[in-house]
Order: sequence, then C-alpha cells, then structure tokens
Amino acid sequence: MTFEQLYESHKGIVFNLALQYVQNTEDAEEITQDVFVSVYQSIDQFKEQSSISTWIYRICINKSLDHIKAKKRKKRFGIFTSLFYEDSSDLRYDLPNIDHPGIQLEQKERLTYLFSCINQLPDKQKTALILSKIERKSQVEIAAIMNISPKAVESLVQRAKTGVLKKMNLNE
Amino acid sequence: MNASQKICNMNNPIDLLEQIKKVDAPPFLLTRIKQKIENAQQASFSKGLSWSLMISLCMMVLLNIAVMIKYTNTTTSIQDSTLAAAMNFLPTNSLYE
Repeated sequence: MTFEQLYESHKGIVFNLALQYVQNTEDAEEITQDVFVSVYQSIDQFKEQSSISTWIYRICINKSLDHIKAKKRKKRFGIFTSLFYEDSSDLRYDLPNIDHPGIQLEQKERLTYLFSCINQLPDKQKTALILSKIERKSQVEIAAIMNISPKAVESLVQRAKTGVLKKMNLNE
Repeated sequence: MNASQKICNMNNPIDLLEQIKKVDAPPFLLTRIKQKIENAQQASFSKGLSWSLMISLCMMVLLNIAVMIKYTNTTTSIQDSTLAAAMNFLPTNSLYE
C-alpha cells in the first residue's frame, strides 16, 4: 500500500478523531497533518503487533493530546487577569472555540457546554469517552487502541461519565 | 434557560455526543502533508551538515591547541647574552663606549 493510499483510507478517521479532541477545524487540520507526517517518518518502525488502523489511532490520540497541552502552555503565559482563581492558574471558564462541522447549529450551545466539561477530564478518561460515545468503538477495540484491558476501558468510561455529570452539577 | 440548565434537564446529557456527525477531511491536506515531509527532510539534511561543520571546526581548534602546546614544550630557553653574541649585538644599552 502506498502512502497516498494509506492517507486516503485513513484521512476521515484521523480528521474526525482530532476534531473530537479540539472541536475546531483549524486545529484538527494541523493535527491531521502532523499525524500523517509522523506515519510517513515512522512506518518502518511499525512492527505489526496491532493493525495499522489501531497504530494510526494511537498516533492521532497522542498528537491531539500534545496539541492541547501545547496550547494550554501558551495560554498560561499569556493571561494575567482576574480570570484566574486565586489559588489556581487554570482559566475559570475555558469554553472551547467550537467550530466543529459535525455539530448541528441547534445543538451547538449544549455541546459547547458539554465539551467544556469533557475537556477537564484526565486524558485517559477523555480518550475512553470519545472513543466510546462519539467514535462508537467497542470496548475490545478501545482496549486495543489504548493498550489496556476491556475492564479498564469500562471503568474509564464510567468514571468519565460520572466526572462530566459532577462538573455539570458544580457549574450550575 | 442557559446551556447548562438545558443540558442538565436532559435524562442523559452524555448521549448528546452521539448526535455528532462525521465529516470529510479537507481535500488540500495531502499537499500540505507532502510539503511538511519535504521540509522535514531538508531540515534534517541541513542539521547534519551543521553538525559536521561544527565538529570539523572543533577538531581544527583542538589540533591547533595541541600543536601550540607541543611547540611550547620543545622550545629551549636561550639566554639573552648568548643570543646577543650570536647576532653581533652589544651586550649593554649604552650608546657610547
């Protein structure tokens, strides 16, 4: 399979997965490019211990999380106003810049709020929730992608749901 | 009613995520990816060249230092008077004898 064929067969998966993490087209495009550059550079290191799709999923998840961390680092240095809590450097209301083409207009407001809660979850819980509820992967598939057991996936998804509901109740 | 109230009134707000639709990736991405790959390859080539030049420079400097140290050690000290006699110089500073 050539690189172009690999790209054509996986571009949708990668772009949509990146969108679920960053919720805007511009960042998702950048992540998609980084993912495929990484695939091109490290295809020789792919040892076929998993399917190539699983491998690409993992790269996409890592690149998305790295992108989010890099953005947070930039924000932390840029803002010195009363937006911060006194005892924390986190932004009080980190509403995501939603430009997600897969979200219908009538759902945008609710999903913006939901994503603001999801974005506060630990990385593993967030990943498990996205793969389960948005990507509609089975527990076995998620376990293969995240390199954990299906039981651990179930636990992560449950904790993620509880975490999101808790945050929604706190912000009321 | 704000967004948080609307969503909290739902039975299971997380199910809202299932309504997100899949979209197509933009068509121009492959061109940009190929460009990035090419830029990365050029960057690694010029990085290699820079390292080679730096190592060569360091080796030259070290070689020069080694030669200077060796030359300083092998030079014998010559007494001023012997040197003056060898070059037919007067051994004193006085102009009138």
